[in-house]
Amino acid sequence: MTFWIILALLSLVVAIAVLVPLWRGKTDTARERNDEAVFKQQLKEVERDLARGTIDPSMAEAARIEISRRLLEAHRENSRDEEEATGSLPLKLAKLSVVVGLPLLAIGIYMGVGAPGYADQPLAKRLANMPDQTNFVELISRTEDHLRRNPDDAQGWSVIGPVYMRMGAFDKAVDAFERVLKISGPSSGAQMSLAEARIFANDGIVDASSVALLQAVLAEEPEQIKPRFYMAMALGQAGKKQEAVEAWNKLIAEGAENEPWVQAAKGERAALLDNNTPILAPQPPATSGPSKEDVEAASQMTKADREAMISSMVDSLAQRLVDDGGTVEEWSRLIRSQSVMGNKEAAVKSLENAKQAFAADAAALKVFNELSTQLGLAN
Amino acid sequence: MIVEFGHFALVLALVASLIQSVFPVWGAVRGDSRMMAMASPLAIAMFLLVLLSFFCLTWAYLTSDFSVMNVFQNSHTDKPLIFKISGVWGNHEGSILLWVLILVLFGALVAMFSKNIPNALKATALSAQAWVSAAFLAFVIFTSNPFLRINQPPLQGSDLNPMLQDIGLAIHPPLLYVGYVGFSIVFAFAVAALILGRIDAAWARWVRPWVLVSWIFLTLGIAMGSYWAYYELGWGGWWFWDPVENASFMPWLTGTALLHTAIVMEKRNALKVWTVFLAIVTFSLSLLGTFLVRSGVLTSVHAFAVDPTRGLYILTILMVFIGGSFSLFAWRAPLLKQGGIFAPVSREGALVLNNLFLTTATAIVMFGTLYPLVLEAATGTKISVGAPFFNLTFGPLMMPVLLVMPFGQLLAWKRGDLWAVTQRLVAAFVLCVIATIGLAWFYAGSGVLVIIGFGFATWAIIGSVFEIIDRMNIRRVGLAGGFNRLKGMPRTVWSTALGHLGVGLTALGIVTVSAFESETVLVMHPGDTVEKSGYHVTYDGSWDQRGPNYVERVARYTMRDGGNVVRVLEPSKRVYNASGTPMTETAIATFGFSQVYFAIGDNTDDGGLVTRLYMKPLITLIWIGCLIMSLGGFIALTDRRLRVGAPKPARKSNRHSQPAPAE
Amino acid sequence: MTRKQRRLTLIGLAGVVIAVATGLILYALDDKIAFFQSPSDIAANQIDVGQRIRLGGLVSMDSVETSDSGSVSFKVEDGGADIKVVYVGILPDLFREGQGIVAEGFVDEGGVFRADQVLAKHDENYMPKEVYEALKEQDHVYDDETLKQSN
Repeated sequence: MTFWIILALLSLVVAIAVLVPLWRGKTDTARERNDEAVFKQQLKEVERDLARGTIDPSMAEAARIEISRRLLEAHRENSRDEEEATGSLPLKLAKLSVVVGLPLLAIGIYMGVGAPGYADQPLAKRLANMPDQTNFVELISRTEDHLRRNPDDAQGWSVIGPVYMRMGAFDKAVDAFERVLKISGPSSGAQMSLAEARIFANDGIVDASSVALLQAVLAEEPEQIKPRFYMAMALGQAGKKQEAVEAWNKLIAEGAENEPWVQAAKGERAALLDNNTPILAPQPPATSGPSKEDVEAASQMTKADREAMISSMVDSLAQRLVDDGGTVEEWSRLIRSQSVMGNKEAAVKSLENAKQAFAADAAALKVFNELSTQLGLAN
Repeated sequence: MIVEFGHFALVLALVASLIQSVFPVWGAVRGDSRMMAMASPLAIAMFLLVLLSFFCLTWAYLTSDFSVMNVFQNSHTDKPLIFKISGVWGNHEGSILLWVLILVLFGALVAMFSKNIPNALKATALSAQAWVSAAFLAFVIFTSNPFLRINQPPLQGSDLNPMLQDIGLAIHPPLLYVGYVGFSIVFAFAVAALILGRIDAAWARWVRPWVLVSWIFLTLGIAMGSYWAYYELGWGGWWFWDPVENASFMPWLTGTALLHTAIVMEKRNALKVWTVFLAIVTFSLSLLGTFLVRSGVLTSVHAFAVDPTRGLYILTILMVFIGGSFSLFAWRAPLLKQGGIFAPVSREGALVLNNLFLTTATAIVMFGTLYPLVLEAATGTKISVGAPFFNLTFGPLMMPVLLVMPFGQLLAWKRGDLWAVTQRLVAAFVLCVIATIGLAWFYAGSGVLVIIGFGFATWAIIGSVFEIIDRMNIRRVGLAGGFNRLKGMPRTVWSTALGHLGVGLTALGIVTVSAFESETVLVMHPGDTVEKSGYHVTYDGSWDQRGPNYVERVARYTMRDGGNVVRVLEPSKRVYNASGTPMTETAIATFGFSQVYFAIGDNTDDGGLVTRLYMKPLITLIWIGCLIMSLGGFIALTDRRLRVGAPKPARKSNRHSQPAPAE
Repeated sequence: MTRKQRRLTLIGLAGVVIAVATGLILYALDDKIAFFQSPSDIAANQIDVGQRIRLGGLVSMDSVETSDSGSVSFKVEDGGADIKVVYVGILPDLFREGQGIVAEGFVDEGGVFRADQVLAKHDENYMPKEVYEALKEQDHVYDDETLKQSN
């Protein structure tokens, strides 16, 4: 309500300022003719300068003649002026436009373009409203700093990689997983992560290098769902429709109906059978990865936008763990990440939060305690 | 809710400008003094509303309110305070808001400080200006709104383009905009004169301060932009004939012409129609510049807005205003009364000549700027019209301007004596020849073009101050008498002399740098020493360090002159954290008017560093000249003295003591 | 001098100045402007040795070589052809392999492009317009439409 009152007051002040001259009676009706005044002023200046000796008398004389001629001219012109106009319709229109048009039009346009009543969101206030929240942005940038100084820290890269994935920074995730592979050699986990990151970075296109990685993973673990899912997609994208449909069928036959990736696989299969639908963005079998919309949004965003999206997604992740809780694994991952990133304080805090959340679960508490000794968090 | 108040204030300003567009001018045409009286409070209200709105946006930047789209896109919590503020106008939406703010500021200034202007003229001019305000306010609100909000505000912004994180950028656009937009007032007065069908010397007197203010700021803005490009882009160039630079240079050229015809009009009541024409052209070129920069039709170092719908909108504004005002001109100008008459050889004549060259030069710049765009649109052929084109076409046109300048200063109004003036300038000519030979000897330059360049520049410099020396007449009245005369000299003499001196100095700087700058690019290893223009430059080494929102590699160089350390320079290469964009920071050592310029490139595999050294002789004169020009303009602005140009009786002979009317 | 004579003098003078300016423009257009060319254009058409052109394309991967004298050589390609470029000076901040650039200079007798200016895009989102269009002609850039059709 205050908001609207202030808007109304603002409009009122403007309207009054304009209405005052309108309501004043007709002051002088004769048009002001200041050019005559200017010429008279000029004449005086000539006299003054002559008295001061800054111009020669002959010059002053010439100037005086010149000015007088113009003065006469102006006078002649001004005396021809027409009479003041009569009739008050335009005046009424003017008043109406100020009293009615100004506030109505302004509020009308504002309702269309503005966000009435949306409070300010200064960062300081928002941060203050999030007690106990670890600032993820800061955490990430600290980890990035750490990795910039120690680019050979495979563990660091493998921690930040999934974070990038979750935030939609797929290019960065690709880079991180590539480094992990380079530093600590091939492992099916890292290969799988890299392949997935590449696919996401390519807007769902499974390129040759990703296929090679997936095949490497399948050589180790032929039964794993994820690589098979993406391989099926690759087949579809390569135009091998028959083989792709078969692969999907096999996958779908294995999965339980309620698993989310099965739905995605069915969608992909349907898209294949209905040839006209392009297969651009996959629905990955990940449990809580970014949604299709997120991927699409992220791929259309500029790098800078994407980075900002990251921070908001991390933010929501942190919020979710504190607000809604999470699994033991999720908490462990968070604590481990924080610890590796060098933010021991935050890790300890998360550890306490986690213990609180699982206070009744002895097995979980054991996991957390082991983790704490392992990471050196318990003093 | 501060942000939303700002948004509403902006909308309210739009509505106020719509009312302003209609009623005061209607009142003026009908002769209704009350409707005319609406103009001043409306103009002031519009300014206060846009100012409020601008402060609200600034507030959002200061508090890092990322629920505002514009703040989120262009700011970052790590950014130093000054760049949080300059970030407000370092982007498309904010810069248009600043543009509008300055526009309404000028309207309010006219409303407040023009007490002796006839009401009808004032009301009509303010209405005419409100047409421009309304168009641009609508542009801001409907296509470039800086107050749009995000429902789920992110926790961090995406940072400002690092190239724009520079103190030069913080000041450059506001200066340039004051210049650009100030001409809108002149335009509004011209349109008002056409509508009311009356124009006289008094009109010129009211308009000239606005011309001067705009011109001063435009001059400073261009100089500043040039210096910014020089030290920030790391290429050592100070003028690229980039379309965006041309966009500000064209209104400067016609604005300079307008400045001079306004004098003629005020003093001699002549060249009225031409002055009105120039006023319209100048503002049209300002609009054209805004269009070129804001629409994204160019790919240029400055263009940071790319959105075709906006381009189309500005193009429409451009066509409506330029088309409308020229139609009005064609319709009403013949009604304006012809003014005073003068002989071809007179100060007026010299000013006409100056105008002729300036407008032709403008046409050339405009051709070079628009031709590639038109050609590409029409035939698809892509060409680049760059420095070689402009140097060949623009350069020769400026030479006669430099040549005629000293004559113009000394010629009498209405009817001058060229022979007498030439005789007076003989001494200046002798000095000019000596100075040219001296410069050519000092820089060991012997090319014909160099000699010609030095000749024209020194002629302009010596010729411009010659009037003052001549008026002091020390030979006759002695040193003390001379100084007395110096004190009593009218300010117009000073402003003219300084303005022309500035042109000469800039010209000298340009000639010297173009002819004698030298560049060395080499790979240096720590401890290496290279000889550059008499100085020994040693590369001491490089290290990494962190700034508030970037990491940088700094290289240290020591300059020695015969064993003594004269300067230690630390150019660097930065990478900004948020965007990952690299930037070169140059280091510059100034010696007198000359500079040595350092920029570093990448490290080589064996630990060397690519180093680029420039010797830039007399380069600072380019910008010092601009400052002196502006100073001249400022002095002219303070001059409230005699503003009537009576024909001057010749002093030495009596031949012209009776000025014969030329009519 | 009458008003008419004065006007004629002025018009005559203006005519002379404009004629000179037009002459200068025509001469400069012939000689001083640079046409934009892609590597494919250069390969397809005979370009006069020494004629100023602007070259646009992508810097080929693994083609950048720096010499001790500070000169750099690299290849620029557009998918259709490539050309060797030699440049003395500091490359722009955003010069990278695989990145779009514009170089201004001329082709020498050996078919090598001697650049006196190299421009790279100025921020992460910007590609020189000319380069973008040249690459599009060579099917190196996919916009949404072509991407959909290819699937």
